[in-house]
This record gives sequence, C-alpha cells and structure tokens, in this order.
Amino acid sequence: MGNINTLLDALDERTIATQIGIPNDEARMGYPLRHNTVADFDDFNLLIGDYYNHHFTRCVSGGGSLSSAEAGGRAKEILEREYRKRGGDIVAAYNNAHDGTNGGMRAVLDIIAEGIKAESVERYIRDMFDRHVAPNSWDDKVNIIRQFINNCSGQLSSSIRGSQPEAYASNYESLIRSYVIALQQTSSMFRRF
Amino acid sequence: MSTKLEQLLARIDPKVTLDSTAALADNALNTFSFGSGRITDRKEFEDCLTDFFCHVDSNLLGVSKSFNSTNRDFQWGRCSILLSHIYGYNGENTAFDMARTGKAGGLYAVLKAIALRMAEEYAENEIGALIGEYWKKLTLDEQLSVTDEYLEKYGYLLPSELTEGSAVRLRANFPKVLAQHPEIIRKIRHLGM
Repeated sequence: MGNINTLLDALDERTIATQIGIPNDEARMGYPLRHNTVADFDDFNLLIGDYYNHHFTRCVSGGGSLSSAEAGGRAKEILEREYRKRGGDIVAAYNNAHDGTNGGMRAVLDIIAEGIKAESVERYIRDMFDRHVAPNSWDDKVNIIRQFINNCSGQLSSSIRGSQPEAYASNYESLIRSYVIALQQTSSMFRRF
Repeated sequence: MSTKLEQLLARIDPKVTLDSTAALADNALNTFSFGSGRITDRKEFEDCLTDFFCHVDSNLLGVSKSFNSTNRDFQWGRCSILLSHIYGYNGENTAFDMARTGKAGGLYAVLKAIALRMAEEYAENEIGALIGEYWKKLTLDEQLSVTDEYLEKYGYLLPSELTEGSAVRLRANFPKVLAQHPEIIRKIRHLGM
C-alpha cells in the first residue's frame, strides 16, 4: 500500500527539479553553439536532430542514440507543438533560426530542451503514481485518497467529504496533481521574499 | 529624399537596435563556458554570475577583452541591481534559490534572463539616446510637424485614445511614443512567427 507522504515528497517541485530538471538543464548547457543561425533547412534539420540526440543520450537513454531521421523527427514534433501554441509552425521556427530573430537557433534548442524535460517530468510523475497506487487496484485508490484527505484536510475545500474517500477514488490522480500544482503556485509567490 | 523622421526611424529600427542587441546576447549565451547546472555555494554563485555578466557586457559592447579583470565587486553590484529588476527587490536571493534548487528553470533560466534583460536595457539606452539627440535638434515648429508626419504614417498602429481629437496625448508624449516605436514594429513583423 502506498504512503501519501512519500508520494507527495516524490512529487515535490524540488525533488522533481533535482531528479529531472537539473540533469536536463545541464544537457542544454553542455551543448555550445558556434553560430546562432543556420544557412538553410537542411542545416536546420541536421542541427535539431544532432541536439535531440545529444540531449536524449545524456538524459533519457543513458547512451544509446537514435537515427538522425528519428531524432530530427522528434525534435520537429516538439517544435511544431510549441510553435502552434504561439500561432506559428515549424516554418516559423526555421525562420527564427535562419534570421537569428526571437532568440535564433539558441531559442529553438531551448524549446527542444524544455520539451524533452517536460516529457521526462511527466513520465516521472506517472511512474511515481504507479509505484504508490496500482492503477488496476480500487483498494489502493481508496486508501491513498483516504490518507490524502486525512493528512491534507486543513488545506482542502470543506465540500470534500472525508468520510467518503470512495467518492473521489477514481479521480485520485487529478486530485493529488491539483493539490501539488496549487502548492507550487503558492511557493512561487513566496519565492521573491 | 527621406525626412528627418524617416532617418531617425531607420536608425531605431528594431533590426538594428532590439534584434541586433538580442543577437549579441544570444551569442554570449552560446559561447559562455557553463560549469555545473546547479550551484549551492553562495560565493561560487556570485563568481559565476559575475563572470557571466562581464561576458555578456563584453559581447554587447563588442569588445574582445572581457571586463572580468576590472573590479569584480563593482561588476557584481551591477549584476545584483539587474537581478532586482528581473526578480524583484530580493532578486539576488531569488536567483540563488533557483540556482541551488533547480526550481523554476534553475541556473540556466537565471543566466538566460540576465542576458536578455541586459540586451533589452542596452537597446533601450541606445534608442533613448538617438531620440533625445534627434528631438533636441528640432525647432518647436519642427516638433509639431514631425508629430503630424508620424500620425499620418503610423497613426493606424496607435490606440485610438492617443489619436482622437487633435491627438493631444500623442503630441504631449511624442518622444515616449517614439521610444516604443521599435517594439511596436518588431511585434508586427513577428506576427505568426
């Protein structure tokens, strides 16, 4: 049976930063760029693939690299996803890298690094949940929610019924994630003091 | 034959002010020798940031020799003030907490924020100096006529509150509006990128 305190410790922002954030930041910092621009799309393709492989071998695979097509493809998926949020696409990423605008190639690699880091954080969180609560065990889910309500009742809404953990068991993951995110937001408010 | 206003706008165009200083800051980020992605010792943190600050300063000013050899306490003081501009009055501590815990992007995020803010400040100083020099050379009549010229050419970019009636608010604050001109143009050029 999982313990809510060890789960919350594993999901703590500082633990995640130590386990995932810092090694990923070091991978990015360990890839110097000689030029902040690229000459053409082939150059761009080669460079993002090479960077993806550098980061991937250092933080994800522990040594084994991907083919250049696979690495380039994954890098483009991250760039497409991120630029779409800003109303652009892979062409916008290439234009920035070609012209050196909006941070040029430096910013393009930063986006890929952040994308790989975010995926690793997500996998880490998923793993921590699964280690504490077997997704196929109803009893585990009820138990973790019971502990969660008992330990954190002071910070939870009064509308949550502590005597009925079963009512929340199927949403255990989203409830605990919301709580952790709220804690992170609070701590970022205090960070400037 | 371009007018005096057009000549000024060409000199403060984002390509030669904001974008070019940002490119120099990117180059500084790309060429700095990063050590570890995490620093837990305060003195080591101050040394790293001072080295980085001097490195960016040299890049922005286009001097080959780093200012590192000059008074390091003085340079750290400048860096500390910059940190308070970025992270608030306790910026030094906030940045150190990020560097030692890896939270909120860690050390790399701190260094990136320093480089980008320095580039912004250098560009703003350059733009402000060019506008100041231009404005003081104009006669009162010329000051009124360039405001009309600007309204005619770029009035559509400004909020209607500034241009309504006889555009009194624009006329009263024209040098400040000019100072914002490069940023407005940059944002428009980067639409969809």
